[in-house]
Amino acid sequence: MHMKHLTISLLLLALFAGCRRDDAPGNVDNIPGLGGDDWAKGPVDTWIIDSLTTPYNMTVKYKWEQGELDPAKALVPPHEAKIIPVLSTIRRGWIKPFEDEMGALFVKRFTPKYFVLVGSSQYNMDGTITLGTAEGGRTIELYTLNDFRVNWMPGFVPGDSANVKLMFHTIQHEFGHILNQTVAYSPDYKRITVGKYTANWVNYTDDEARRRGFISAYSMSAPDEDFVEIVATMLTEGRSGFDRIVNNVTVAGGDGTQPATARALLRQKEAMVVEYYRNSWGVNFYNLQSRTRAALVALIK
Amino acid sequence: MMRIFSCIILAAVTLAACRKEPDPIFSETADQRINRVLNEYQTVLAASANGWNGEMTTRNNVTYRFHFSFDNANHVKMFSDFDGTSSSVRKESSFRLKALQQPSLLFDSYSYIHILADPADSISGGPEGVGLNGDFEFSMDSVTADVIKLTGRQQGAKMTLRKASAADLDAWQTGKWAGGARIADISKKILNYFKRLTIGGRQYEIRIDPSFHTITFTWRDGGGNPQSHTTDYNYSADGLILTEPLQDGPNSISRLSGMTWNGTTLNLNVNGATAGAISGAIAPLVIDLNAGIRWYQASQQTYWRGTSFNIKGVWDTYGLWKLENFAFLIFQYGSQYDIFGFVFLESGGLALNFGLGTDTPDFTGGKTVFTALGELGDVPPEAMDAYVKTAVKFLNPDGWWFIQTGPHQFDMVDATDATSYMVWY
Repeated sequence: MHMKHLTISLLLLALFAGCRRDDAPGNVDNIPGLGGDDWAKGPVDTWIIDSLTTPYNMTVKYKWEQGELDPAKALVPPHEAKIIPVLSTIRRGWIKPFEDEMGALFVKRFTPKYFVLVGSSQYNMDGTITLGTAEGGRTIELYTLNDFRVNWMPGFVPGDSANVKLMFHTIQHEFGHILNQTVAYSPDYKRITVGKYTANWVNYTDDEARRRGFISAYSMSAPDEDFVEIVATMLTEGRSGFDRIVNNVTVAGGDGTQPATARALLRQKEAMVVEYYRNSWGVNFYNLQSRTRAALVALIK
Repeated sequence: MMRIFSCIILAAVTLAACRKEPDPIFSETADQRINRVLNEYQTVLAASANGWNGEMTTRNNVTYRFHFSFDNANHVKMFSDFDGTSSSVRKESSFRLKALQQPSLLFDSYSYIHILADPADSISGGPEGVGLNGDFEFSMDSVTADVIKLTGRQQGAKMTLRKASAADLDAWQTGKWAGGARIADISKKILNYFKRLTIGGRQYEIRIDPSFHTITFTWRDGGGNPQSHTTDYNYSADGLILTEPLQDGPNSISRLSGMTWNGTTLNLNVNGATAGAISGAIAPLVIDLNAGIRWYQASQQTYWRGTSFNIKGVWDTYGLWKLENFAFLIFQYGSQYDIFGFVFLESGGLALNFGLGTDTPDFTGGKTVFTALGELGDVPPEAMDAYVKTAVKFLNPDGWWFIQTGPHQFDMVDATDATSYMVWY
């Protein structure tokens, strides 16, 4: 009995002694890559710091970084020469209208902070290509930069405007998510086309989606996506462009939705988006819409 | 007693196990060592005054050559043998060395090396979404002052860098390499589908796939029998070398060099000695009389899918691919009439809404001529222009040559002057 106590005491003593941790950490090595990658800074880096990091606290990964992307996909980095044109386009077409309409503080607080740029498209198994993705309200990945051209760049053809529009659509879509994750939109929105959301959205065309009261095929996937697709479409197409899309619904949908019903559903969604921006952010959405559309038109027409 | 003894031993062992002085095998820590190695490698890369000759063998086992000049400010200047531009215009982009489990070399902004990894088929010439299986992110397997061995981190491509001499760099800068790579641009210069190499009195039809570095020769031997030879090739500083030389009786072809453009023909030397020339032709050298019939018979089993037309080197001249939801063209045999149809994606599936009904084709002389029987379905107004142009082209009264390029693939080339074609697969 005695012996057992002794053994246990000895063991405890040994263990406690073994756990003493009052040494100083000593010299910490210069760990490679700690604090981010390092390279000789060039004009692109200076531009990013002056035009995005200092005023808006945003940064851009334009050099290849496999860890940010899907390792199973064939992707390539962008041309260095494309970086400043793309970023200045984003600044003019997206940041500036929001800053003018909602103030600098709003932009600093809510915009995504990290852009990752990729040169090619991402080709998916189902035959679609990805042009942009977003993660966690913080990161936006933009693809197909090597084909990017706006009207002041040499070799611009009107067909290039589709790329530019898609890029803005992606950014507005993701930014819409950030806003409605910060202040939720009214649950009434989810009841407008309740029961018609489907994981099978990829098999519908945009036209068919519109005949059923959705603005795009992707908006059929979930109410949240539906909401921000309306936001993104309104901001990139402008008021007349959005009206045209709605008024072009003249055929009944495959599920029997009549054109008049589909148009009414889209108008109801539009009204709720406008109301959400007024009530939650105190902003006149139609003013914002004319600003973003004008900025976009200036870049592609 | 025994118990006390074992307790003391146990305590001694436990206490001894807690010694905190590190006893490393290496004199420096892992971080110190990796930083030192990266710095050393950077010094080696930048130290070669005339840069490095690069040789990358992709996962497809095709070898492409490069020239790199690295500097100390993360920039690299590059040539590559991919085509006429990449082999004559030096392009500057960026690179960096990074510790990714191993010391790694990353070409981190776009340059010629990325063409081999680009998923866009219009850029690399490889399959869409896949490319040519090249790499631009490498782990550094071994580094000496003269030879650096690299392995691609994604595709496993192998690259060797060898220290270049002034003459090596000169060969790129004075356009010698561009001479050989000119053959990659042959389809942009000679707009006829058929390209013929003439050496003395002998003629060979050649088909080149510059993306995969393969070349096919078709010819008639001394006895008039059709012959064919397909081989890989590699570029050298003055031309291209066939991996397996062509043997045609006493004649052989192992090397093509000294290429110069003469407006319409590409003049060159065969085996460094004999003069030859490649020019366009409006008909195949060896006519495959039954190719059209084989293609037509296959359409009785299953339909053929067609691309859009390539006319004078431009894909989709009639704008089919720009139509919303356009999928592909089809051709299928029918007992009443055959269908040349336009297929679209619609509501979750493929839909054939309109097309052309055609009669059984005429196969005289190895040419296939289609005759219209009538229009099928309703052509929507936005597709009318592309439809009419494509249908009229398809009904070309001179007919089409069919060239079998794979077990289930044909090129359909116009028999008027061989400047337009379509791929059926």
